[in-house]
Amino acid sequence: MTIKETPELVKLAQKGDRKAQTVLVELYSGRIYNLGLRMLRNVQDAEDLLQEAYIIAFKKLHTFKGNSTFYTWIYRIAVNIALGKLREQSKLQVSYSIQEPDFEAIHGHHFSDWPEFIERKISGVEFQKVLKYAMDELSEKYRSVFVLRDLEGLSTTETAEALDLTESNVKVRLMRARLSLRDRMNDIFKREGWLL
Amino acid sequence: MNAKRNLELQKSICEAFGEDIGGDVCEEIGQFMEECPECQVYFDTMERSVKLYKASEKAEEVPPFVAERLYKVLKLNHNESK
Repeated sequence: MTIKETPELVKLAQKGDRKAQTVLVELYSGRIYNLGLRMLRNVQDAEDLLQEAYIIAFKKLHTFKGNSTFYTWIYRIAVNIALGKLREQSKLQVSYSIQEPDFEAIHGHHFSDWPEFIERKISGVEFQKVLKYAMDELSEKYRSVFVLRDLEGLSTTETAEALDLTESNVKVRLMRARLSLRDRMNDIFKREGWLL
Repeated sequence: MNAKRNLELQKSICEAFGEDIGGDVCEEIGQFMEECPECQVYFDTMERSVKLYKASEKAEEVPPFVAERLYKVLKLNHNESK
């Protein structure tokens, strides 16, 4: 039987019902852990994020008003923790900066179209490692938007709320992140000899 | 690139820029794209990059020792939900 989140379940958890709290951990720990992996790119940090998110959520559970689902609520807590960690890390490392696409330069420049077989090549473990590296190179401000919008499937409005950005800022950063990823992949494909 | 794909691409670019499909700016984007085959390739491969990246991603399970530690810290027993 599939267990789903219900307002009653959350109310029970708020009253301290351990069984209900356990269900909330079972329901969402996987998703929060994967959010941590995607945003922080590090297993240890993702493990810490998972733990911190649930500790904070359960500590503040009495303040949860039920205006959203528990999942949305703990998800925002987790995103905030992740952003805090990323800000700390960015003080220690220099990020790859994205070249803004110059559309005048694109016009009249020859770009190789990607052959159909590219899609079949990605199953290789080696290729996945290279992709991971390309993502690691994105600076935090672009990666967070890409992760929340394209990988986690949040809307522009939700992403803007979670990251405390304007919606137009989200759109601009998302476009830049996608184009940067495209350019990195293009380099990889050329290096592999898949493009002329 | 064929006309159908071109239209799809125009739609997705309009969405990415937050413009209404069929709106003036979206029309302009479409016109610009028609006159710039290099831009079509550039944006088409951008879309494919995102799809390729998503396809290569797989959800990871929470490692059992991490789950155990989490239940312990929260003073919960995972057998309790069953």
